[in-house]
Amino acid sequence: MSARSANAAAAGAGAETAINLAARVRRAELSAEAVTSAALARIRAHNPSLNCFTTVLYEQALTDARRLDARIAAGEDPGALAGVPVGVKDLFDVQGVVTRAGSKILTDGAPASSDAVLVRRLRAAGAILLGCQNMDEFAYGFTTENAHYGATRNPHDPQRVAGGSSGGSAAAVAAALVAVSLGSDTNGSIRVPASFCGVFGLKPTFGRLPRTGSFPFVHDLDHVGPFARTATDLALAYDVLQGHDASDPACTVRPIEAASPQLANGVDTMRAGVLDGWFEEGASDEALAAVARVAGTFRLRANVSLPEAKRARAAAFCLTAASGGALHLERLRNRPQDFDPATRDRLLAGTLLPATVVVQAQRLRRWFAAQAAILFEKVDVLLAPCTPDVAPRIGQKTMSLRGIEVPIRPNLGIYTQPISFVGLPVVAVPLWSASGPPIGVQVITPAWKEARALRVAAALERHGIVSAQRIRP
Amino acid sequence: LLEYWTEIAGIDTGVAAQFIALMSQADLVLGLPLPDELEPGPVFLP
Repeated sequence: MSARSANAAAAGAGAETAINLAARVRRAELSAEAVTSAALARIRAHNPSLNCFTTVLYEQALTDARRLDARIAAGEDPGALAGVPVGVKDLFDVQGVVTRAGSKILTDGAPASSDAVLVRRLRAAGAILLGCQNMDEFAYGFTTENAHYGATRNPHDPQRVAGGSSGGSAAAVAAALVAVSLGSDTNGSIRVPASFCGVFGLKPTFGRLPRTGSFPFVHDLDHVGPFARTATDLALAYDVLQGHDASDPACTVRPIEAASPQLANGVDTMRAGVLDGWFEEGASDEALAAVARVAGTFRLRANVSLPEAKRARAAAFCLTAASGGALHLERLRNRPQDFDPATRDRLLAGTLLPATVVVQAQRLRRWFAAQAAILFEKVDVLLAPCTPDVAPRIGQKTMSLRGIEVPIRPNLGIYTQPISFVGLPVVAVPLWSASGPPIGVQVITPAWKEARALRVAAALERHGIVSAQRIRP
Repeated sequence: LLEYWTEIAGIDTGVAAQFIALMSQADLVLGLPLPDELEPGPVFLP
């Protein structure tokens, strides 16, 4: 083994951050090919047990890596993510691959004729795409226990779920199979798996990142965003992904607002609001302790209330079922037997929802957004748990919310749903519970202030409060 | 309600159970009085 290959083996083992890895590849200290080979070897070794990837692009990834090395040798700028191994949730189009969105039904479709816009941007920045990652069927779930492709296991405890619906993407980052993944978040599908897998996740403002070339779920709630193992890597990925795309009618025309240059600014003058009421009722001791530890970093902090968060969550719940049901109506009529029965029943129930509820939910949405805006006149950042508790066990059907037994599937997102309902940007930051498993906290900022949330995440990381590496509380 | 959906309306038990759960959330949505002039979303414009 050459010295470069040996170095790459170490890098592929997950010791490197994306930013350092890219710097070393740009300087030709490491070859992209060797980094890719090492990452693929880790996927071969660990994916059979973790089940993060449903498609691995072994040959394509190596071809892409060799091409990148040739560009570097020719003196070209390979991009900010040069040679960084990445993966994407199986709802992003990847040229030549069938986009299944975790379903059996879409397996019959033609391979994608082009990459999704965000996949294209990652590749343009020099990232090497290693494959497509497991998810809940049609993104309708919080556990990634997929009836067709199996459950993704939590790298920190294989008996526990990875969270969902972007479970494969979060687990692959946590297990260092890739440095960065792309996921989607309609009701919490980036933040819930980030919480359970102990990684950083960004759900940007609704409309910030284009969804062009990704399979939809709820058009006016769907967000897309990255996972990473450090706040710096998360910001780097976010900066690479930004920019208008006219093919997504919701995508903003605002200019790119780079977050990376702002990460060192600190939080000394920021005012933090710790969300109480709905956001602490039902939360476990671990979840509340995690929020308290994050809040303790802020000199200026107070408890604040977001009125009617329970109803906002209910409205998001109803809109999701109704819109999802409408989206899949033809498939529900023609191929009901090919759905996961649990997904199918929820979608069918959504098709029966009275229109009055949908209209009222949309009106409530505007009202609730105004309530959040009022809160942000008093504070710069809001804090809340990502999940009520640490990751449940695979196959577990119910969980206890402060002594009340509830079904797991619809309740893991009770704290994420009200926030995505009004499109606010959130960074999920990873902490470690006293009992062992990780648990995340939502750092929520006003619309279009992703850079502020990322700045908070970076400050928390510098203070040793949050980390993707296990740390004792 | 479950009996109605499954036996009278002939709807599958699983769907009926999900519909009942959904309607309990719908009750919360419909229970908040909102000003007449309040328009539905969208929340943000690009």
